[in-house]
Amino acid sequence: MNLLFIEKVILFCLYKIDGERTIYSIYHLLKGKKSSQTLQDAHLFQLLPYFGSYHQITREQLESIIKTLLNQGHIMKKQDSHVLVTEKGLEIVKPFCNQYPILKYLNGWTFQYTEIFWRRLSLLVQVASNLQHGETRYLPIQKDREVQIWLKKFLLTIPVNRSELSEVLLKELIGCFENEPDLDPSSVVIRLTGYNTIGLTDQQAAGVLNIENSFYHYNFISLLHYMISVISTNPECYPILFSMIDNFNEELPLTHSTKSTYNLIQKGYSIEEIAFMRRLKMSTIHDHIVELALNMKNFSIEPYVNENEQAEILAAAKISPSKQLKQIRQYVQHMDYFKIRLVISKFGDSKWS
Amino acid sequence: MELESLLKKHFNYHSFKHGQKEVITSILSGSHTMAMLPTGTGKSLCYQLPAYLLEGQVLIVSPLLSLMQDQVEQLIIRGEKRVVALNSFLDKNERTQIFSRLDQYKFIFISPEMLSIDFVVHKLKQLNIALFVVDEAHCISQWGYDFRPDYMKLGTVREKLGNPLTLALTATATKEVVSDIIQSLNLEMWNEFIYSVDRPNISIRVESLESVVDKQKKLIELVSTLQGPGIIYFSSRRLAEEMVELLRGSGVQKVMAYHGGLDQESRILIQQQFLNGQLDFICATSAFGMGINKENVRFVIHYHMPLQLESYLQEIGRAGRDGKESIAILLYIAGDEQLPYQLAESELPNVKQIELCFKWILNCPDNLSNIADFEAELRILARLTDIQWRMIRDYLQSLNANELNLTKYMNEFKLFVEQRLNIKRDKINEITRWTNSIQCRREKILNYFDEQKKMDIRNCCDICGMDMQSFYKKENEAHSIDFQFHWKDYLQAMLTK
Repeated sequence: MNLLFIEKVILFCLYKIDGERTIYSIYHLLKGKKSSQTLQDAHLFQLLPYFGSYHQITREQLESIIKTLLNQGHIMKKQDSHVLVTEKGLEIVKPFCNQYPILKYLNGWTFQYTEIFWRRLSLLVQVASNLQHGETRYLPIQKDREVQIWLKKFLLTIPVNRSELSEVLLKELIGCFENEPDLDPSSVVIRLTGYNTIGLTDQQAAGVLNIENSFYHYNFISLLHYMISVISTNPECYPILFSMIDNFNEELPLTHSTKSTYNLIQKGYSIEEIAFMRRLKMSTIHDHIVELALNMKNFSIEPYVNENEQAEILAAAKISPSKQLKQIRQYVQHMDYFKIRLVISKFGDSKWS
Repeated sequence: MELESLLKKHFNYHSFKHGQKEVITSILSGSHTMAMLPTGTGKSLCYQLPAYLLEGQVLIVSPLLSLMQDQVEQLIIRGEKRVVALNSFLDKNERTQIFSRLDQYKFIFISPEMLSIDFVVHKLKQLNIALFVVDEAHCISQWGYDFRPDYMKLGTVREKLGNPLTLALTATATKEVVSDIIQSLNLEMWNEFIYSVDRPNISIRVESLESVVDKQKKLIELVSTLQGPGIIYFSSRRLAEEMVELLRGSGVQKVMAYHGGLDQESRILIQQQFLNGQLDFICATSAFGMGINKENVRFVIHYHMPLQLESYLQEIGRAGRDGKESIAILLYIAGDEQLPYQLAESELPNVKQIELCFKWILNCPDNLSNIADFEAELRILARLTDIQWRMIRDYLQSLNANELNLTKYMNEFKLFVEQRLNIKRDKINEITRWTNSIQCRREKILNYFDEQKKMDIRNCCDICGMDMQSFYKKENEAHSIDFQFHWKDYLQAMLTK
C-alpha cells in the first residue's frame, strides 16, 4: 500500500532519531515547538530542515500515523513510545531524499518566517496586479494587519517607479523560478491572486495539480524556501523580492525567555545571578544557554566549558555508540550534562558523527 | 446637494433601493428612526449616506465581530479611510492610538461589550456624535431569536451619551420585537419604517423526502439541474464537506465547502472565488453569507432546517439581490426538527452546569470580581462550550457584588435560561409547523411578521404551485476542457496589461 507523503516524512524522522527519542519528539519537531529540547534534538539528529514544516499536525494524527506504520510493518516497537524502523521501512527511507529533489530546498529552521514571506508575497502580487490593471476596489487577500501595514510602507520605499512595479516583479519572479531549470513553481504560482483572478486554496491546488495534500504542502513550502534562499544569495538580481525579506535576519529565532536571558548574559551576569533575578530554575537558564549555542554562530560557550573540556567531550561523543547524553556521559563521567549538551549544541554533529 | 447625486458620488449607485430614501430623509430631518428593511436591500446605506451630510461622528453598534469587520472593509474598499472598529481584537497599543484621535474618524463601529466599559463611554462623550446606529436591533429584545444581554444596556448608554439622534436597523422583527426595541432605547418620538419582509422574486419550496439517501439524491439532482450560482446551507461542517465530495463525484465541479473550521486564507479565497464566478456552488454553514454582496445568486438550498423563520428568511434573502427570479428550497424529512432542538439546547448551559459554576463561586466568592480570569478552570469544571461560557460569564459579571445572595441569583439565572430555551423551542415549533403546513408558504411567513399577503406572485411557492422549468439551466453549458496550468502564462496575465 502506498504511504501518504507525511507518513513517509514521519518514517524518515523516526529513522533519524533511531529510537532514542519518543515519537512525540517528532510531533514537536513538525509543529515547530521552540523549546530547547526540540531544537537540540533537531540539530543532533540532522532534522533541522523539518522543523515546523507541518505545524497543522495534531497529536491524534501523529498517533494514528504511527499505528498505520506499525500495522504495515514499517516500524516496530522498541519500548513505550519509542520505535525502530524495520527492514521494510528502510526500503522507503533509503531512497526518500533522492526520490523527491524538491526536498533539498526544505529548510524549516532557517526559514521560520515562511508564513510571513508567503503573506507578503501574495499580497504584493495582488496589489501589483490590480495597480497594473487600474483597479482600486478589491478585497485584500491577506487580512493580517501587520502584513497590510508592511505593504503600505513597502510601496513607499520600493526602488522602482510604481508604474513599473508589476513589470519588474514579473521579471524577478520568472528569473527566480528559472534560476533552477528543472523546477516547477506551479504549487506556488497557482495560489496567487491578482486582478480578476482569485488564487486557489491549498486543497484546491493539490486537486488541480493532482497530488496528495501533504505532498502538495511540502512542495509548496520547499518552493518558498527555495525562493528565499535564491533571493538572499543574489540580492542584486532581485531588488524587489529582496526588500521583502530584508529585515528577516534582524530577528534571531529565539524564544522570548531566552532573549531576556541573553540580554542579561551580555551585561555580564552569571547563571546563578540570572536565575535569581528572573526567578527561574538554574536548569531553565541552562536550557536558554544551550538554545543560544544552537542558534548564534558567534555565541561563546567558553565561559561555561573551557577548551580542554570541549575537546574531551567531543572525543567522548565520537566513541559513544549512541547520541543519547546518558551514553556520552559514560565516557566523561566528571562532566555535568549541561557542559555536554552545550558542546554538542555548539558543534552539532559535524565534528563527531 | 440632492440625495441622488450624493449617492452617485459616494456609492456609485444611480438610484435608491426600496425604502432607503425614506429612512435617510427621516434621519436628516432630525427624527429618531426605526427601520425594518428586508435582507439584501442595503441597510447600511441608511447610515452611511447621511454621514456625509451630518457634522460629527456616526457611532454604529454591531453585535458580530465578523459583520463589523466586513462593513469596515466595504467602506475602506470604497475609499472611505476614516473608519475604525472598536472591539476586543485590538491590542493595547492600537487601542491607545485609536482613542487618542477618535475625533478624526467619521465611522466608529463598536461592539456592545466595549460600551460597558466606563473609559470608553467617557471617551465617546467627548465626541460630537451625530448619529447613534443600532445595527441588528432585534438583538435587544428578549423575544428575539438572537437576544444578546449586552444589547439591553444600550438605552442607558444612549442616555449617557446625551440622547443622540438614533437609528435602529433590523431585517427581521415581529411587532412585539419592534416595540421592545423602541422601549429599550427610550425613544419618545420616532418615525417607523417597516417594510415588508417579502422578497417577491424568490420562490419558496419545501421538498419532503423519505430518507437521508433520498435527500442526498435530491440535492445532487437539484444542484446538477438548477441554474446557478447557488448556496447550500448545512448545520454541520462535516456534512457540508461530505456533500461537496458527493457532488463532485456526481460531476458537479465548481463547488467548495465553507465553514468556520477553515483557515482564514482559504475562507477569503473561497468567498472571493464565488464572488468572481470561479465557483458556482458553496456548501456552507451559517458562517457564510454575511457581508457578501453577490447579486446573482439564483438559489439557496437548506439541507437542514434552520432554528427559526427569522434566520431562514435572512439566509434565503441572499438569493436574487439583482431582483431576478430565484428559488429557495428546504429539504425536509419528518423528524428533521430534532436536530434544531438539540442545537438549541446545547447552546444554553444546563441545570447541572449552572449548579457546578455557582458551587465553585460559593467556595471562593472573591473570584467573582475577575471571573473572566477563571475561564479555563470553569469551562473544564462544568464542560462549558464557548457560547455557554459567555452566557454564564455575562450573567455573573452583571451581579451586584455588594449583596451576594448566590442562591437567589442562581435560581434567577436558571429561570432565565429556561425562558430562553422555551423561546427557542417555540421558534423551532413555528418553523416546523410552517414546513408541514398546506397553506401558502409566503403568506404564512408574512403572517408571522404580522403582515398580509397582498398580491399574487408567479411561482409563489410549492403550495400555490410553481413551474420548476423557470429555475433549470437553460442549456447544458459546455463542459470545461481539462484545466492545464501554465505557471508562466498565469503570472504574465496577472502582471501585464
